[in-house]
Amino acid sequence: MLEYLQQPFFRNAVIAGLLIAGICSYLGVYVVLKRIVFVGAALAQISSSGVALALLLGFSPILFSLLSSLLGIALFSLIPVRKKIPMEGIIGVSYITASALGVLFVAKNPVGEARALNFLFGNILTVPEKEIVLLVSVALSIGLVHYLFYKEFILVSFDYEMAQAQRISAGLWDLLLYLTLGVTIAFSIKSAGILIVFAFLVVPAVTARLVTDKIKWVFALAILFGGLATVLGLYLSVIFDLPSGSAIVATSVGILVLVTSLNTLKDLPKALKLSLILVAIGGGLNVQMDRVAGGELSPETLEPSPGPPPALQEPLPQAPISRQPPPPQRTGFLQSLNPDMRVEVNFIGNKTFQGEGSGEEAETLRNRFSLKEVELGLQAAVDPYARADVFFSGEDLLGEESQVSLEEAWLTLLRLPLRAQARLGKFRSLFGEINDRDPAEFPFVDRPLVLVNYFGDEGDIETGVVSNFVIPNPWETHMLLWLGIYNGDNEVAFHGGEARKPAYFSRFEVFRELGPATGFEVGTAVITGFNDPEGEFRTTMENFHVELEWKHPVFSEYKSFDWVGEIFLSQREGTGGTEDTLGLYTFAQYQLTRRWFLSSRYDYSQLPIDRDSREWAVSGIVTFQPSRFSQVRVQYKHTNRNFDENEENVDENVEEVFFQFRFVIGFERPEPF
Amino acid sequence: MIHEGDFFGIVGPNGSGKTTLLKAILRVLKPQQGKILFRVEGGQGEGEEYEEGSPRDTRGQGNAGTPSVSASPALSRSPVRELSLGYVPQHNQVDQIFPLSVLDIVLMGRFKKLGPWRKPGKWDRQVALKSLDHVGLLHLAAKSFQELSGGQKQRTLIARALAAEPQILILDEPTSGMDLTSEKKMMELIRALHERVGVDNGGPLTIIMATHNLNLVANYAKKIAILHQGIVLGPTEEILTDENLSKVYQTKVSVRVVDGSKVVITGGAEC
Repeated sequence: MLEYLQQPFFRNAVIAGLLIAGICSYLGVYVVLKRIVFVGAALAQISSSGVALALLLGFSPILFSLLSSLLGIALFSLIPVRKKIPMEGIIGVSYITASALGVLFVAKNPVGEARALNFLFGNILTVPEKEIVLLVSVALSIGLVHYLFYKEFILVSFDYEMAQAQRISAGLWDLLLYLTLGVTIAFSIKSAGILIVFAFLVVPAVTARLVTDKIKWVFALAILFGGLATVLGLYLSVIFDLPSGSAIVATSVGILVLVTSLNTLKDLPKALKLSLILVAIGGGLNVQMDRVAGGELSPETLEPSPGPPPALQEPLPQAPISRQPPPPQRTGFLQSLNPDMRVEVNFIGNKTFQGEGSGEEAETLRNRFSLKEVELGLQAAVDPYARADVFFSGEDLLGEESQVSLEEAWLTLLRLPLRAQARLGKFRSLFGEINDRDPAEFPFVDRPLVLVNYFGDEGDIETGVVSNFVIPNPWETHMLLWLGIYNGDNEVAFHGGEARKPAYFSRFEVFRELGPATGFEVGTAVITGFNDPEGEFRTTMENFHVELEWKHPVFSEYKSFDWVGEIFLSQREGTGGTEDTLGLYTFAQYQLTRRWFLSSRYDYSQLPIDRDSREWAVSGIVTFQPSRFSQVRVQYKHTNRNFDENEENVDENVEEVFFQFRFVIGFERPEPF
Repeated sequence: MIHEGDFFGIVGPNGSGKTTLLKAILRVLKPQQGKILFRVEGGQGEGEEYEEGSPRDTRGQGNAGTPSVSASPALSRSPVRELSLGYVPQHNQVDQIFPLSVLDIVLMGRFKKLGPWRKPGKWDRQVALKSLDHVGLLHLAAKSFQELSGGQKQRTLIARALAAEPQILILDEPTSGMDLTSEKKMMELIRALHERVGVDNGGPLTIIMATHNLNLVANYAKKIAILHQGIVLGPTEEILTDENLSKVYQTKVSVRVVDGSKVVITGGAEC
């Protein structure tokens, strides 16, 4: 629960839900006791058709919600009751008219029916902070009015005639009571939707009335039950991926059923009954918490949708562990014993107009089509505490040197003390922001020069153990620390596993949200190991990286911007002393429309063994992404270098164009970061 | 004309307008015709007539043949002439699902005096408890209103009216739905209130009671009004005669005395 509360949208939903539950449940006591449940339903419907009209005409939904709600009250209190038609008849006609108008307004809405319906039925998970401020002020005003005029409201509700006989302005007090109801409904409808609002106007009050015969306790318990239903319902909706409104309402009714069944045990003292109810609710919550904590249900399934999602996904478990388990509830029964599978195909074409790209990979790709990689991934939960991932890779399948190999295989321990997780096996070393991604996941076709020069064509894949810790802090900042021991399997940077001397690794990263649509991350990492088979000479490398990501607050699927910068420093000992070198790249990507992305990258790298040899490159990239499972990319790259294969001084330019087609079947890797 | 200190019964067949008349006196309903006038008796402003709820300096105009209620002067300090009227509805017409305690309900009698905003204080609580004591329900103050018997509910509503410290207590069918014993107890209580509670304020408490039960008014009310296509009004002995009643009820009705109590019987059977 607490980890969800760290998510701003969930926190907002809880706060807004509690405010709405509070006022609606309180007023619900009047609605139920005054026997005006149908009036409540009609007012809610009228108010929501006001919202629909406002959306159609482009006016403020809250204003229209309020106006239509007040109009409804005026209608109910001013229309003279005719002898032939009971008040219920008028209310019923208003209800059905409002329902029909609401649907008509939505149907004609150019914004799109789905979005308008979302507004109309409310999605408490998308309540912005602005609306919370509004809800707080509404709750305070309603609360003040009800505190001041409590006895008047009770009197006119209990015995209207007596109030008239006492010359207390019964009509005015009754109208004021209805007005507070109308205002409450109007503001709550906009944020929570008609279902939740109407449910809160009825269910908690009925529940509370069953528990106690004391009016003040009825009010207090109604608020308590409404609040419980909100928190518990939201929580369950997130865990089981349910619509939040219905989950809250169902929870609310669940509490009612629980109370009713306990109420049949008539001999129990009331206080005991109430404690039993609370214990039962608390127990239910605990079971859920255990399921989550046990890894059975993972917080990573938390995904607010639809509506504007938070700009960035929670970086916590995704940064170190890029391959996520699928949400367990989506796994079919028969498949539940099999691991999930994934096949990814990375197809690359290259045309080199001038010069030759450096490295073996560039040589393989040059001037032809290559089935660069076909990767088979298997993934399954071992038990509630661990998950296994295995990736086989077939490389250069159309070329002469085609080979199939075990690329990565590791076990992830999900639940260790101190909020830690650990990974054991063979995997990408996490040194640097882009290095821990599979090449097919790169936002460009080729690997940045610095990574090729420092780690070779495959990047740094190591065998060893690494674990990460979340560092608690009071600054609403996400801090992660990784510590690891590797073999030093990389043949370019280290000894290739020959010198039985380990490489040590550490990484520290800070992530912070800058407002609702922007996220910022900085990190540093260091890795040190020996670079010769005898284990005499040490290589130490440092990495500094920064990433800024922005998504449009409303059209997050359509507009975004991403910027990454990474600097690598290397101190490599050798027979000739220590070589200090540097490499870097920076990459920026702008999303033009839903499927089109424009990006560019600048590379600079010295060779780790010779600081005088250096190359730089600029790339322009266009990406078309029909879906999250396929991608077409074209990249133009200009490279300039001052060395050749024999490391002699030259001044060589390379001009090349890459074409990439990539697709995935099976489970999807979540976006890193 | 109802005078201060009267025990006044309003009787009449079903649909004759007893409840309507009570509501007109209470100003819950506005008379379609005529006015309810109050006349000051004794002291300053002797003989002045006014309409209840009218501004203080307005004088009443003529009597349009409607019943007049007399009252003492300077009873209210509000800018309009207002009498403190204690209204007791029929217990089964009051809401039955509100989870209120007996004391909660009796305290409602204090709300008019408190005005808006102010919550009932210690003094209001004392008055409410005293009213409950008057109706003999002090021991049930904390009990839930719903759990009471019909008679107890009616007494609670009477206590609520008393808590307003009324100058006139107005009861609508106070014995409806009661058996003979409860009926008698209720009437004895009302008589006791008429005598005892009123005496605290310097004279018997004025009581106006509407009922369809002629036996009750015959034995308890000092004055009665029979409503039937008009009104017959006067001391009980003069009004409650075989002749009047037979005319009103369109059947033979006789008034007899049995064991010292007046009994109204239909069909002219001899006792």
